[in-house]
Amino acid sequence: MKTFLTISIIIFLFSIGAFPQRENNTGGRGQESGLKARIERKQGNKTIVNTNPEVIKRSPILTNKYIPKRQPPKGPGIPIEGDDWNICPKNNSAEPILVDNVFKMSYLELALENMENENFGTAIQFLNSAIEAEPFNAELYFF
Amino acid sequence: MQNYIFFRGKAYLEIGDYIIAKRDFSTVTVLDPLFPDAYYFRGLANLYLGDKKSAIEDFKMATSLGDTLAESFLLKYSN
Repeated sequence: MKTFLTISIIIFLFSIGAFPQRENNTGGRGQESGLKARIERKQGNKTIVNTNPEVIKRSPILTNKYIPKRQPPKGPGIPIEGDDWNICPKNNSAEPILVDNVFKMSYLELALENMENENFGTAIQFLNSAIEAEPFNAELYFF
Repeated sequence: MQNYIFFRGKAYLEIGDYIIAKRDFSTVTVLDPLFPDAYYFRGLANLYLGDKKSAIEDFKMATSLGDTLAESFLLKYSN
């Protein structure tokens, strides 16, 4: 009997709209806001009157934006392995590599190598070439 | 620059051209006055040229700059 009474009361309360509050357009699917409405149901013409328009504030969605990886620019010419960003200097035929500049620093090494082998005459020749290659010749100033 | 001249001086010293060697070491002492090896080798050149007094002066200078070989020559020839 008690159970029957309880069920009847619950059915009655639902029928008169005792629990009318509900959220429209939300449902916890991640929207930033949703409408909270108190709805009055009129059983006769089935119209819905919202008597409590209220916006539910929700925290912003915490999802990482997809940032596409930066792609290296595609430069002209033959690609160089390990030079995806095209930072390696390209050979410019208009500016030829000077052989003198490449070998300028090796004069001393050649001279020392010849001195170790007791070829002092050759070592002196290399050292003379090295001294002549220098823009400042000390001998011209001090002797 | 002084490296080239210094090693050229050493090469001239090795082949027995002591005058040119001494000139090169003198150039190095002007370019780099705190380079002890230049004084030491110029002292050797002076010694081979028979100028013992100048050699001792050079060895003294090299010793003051921390050259141990010059110190041994100085002890040997200063007495």
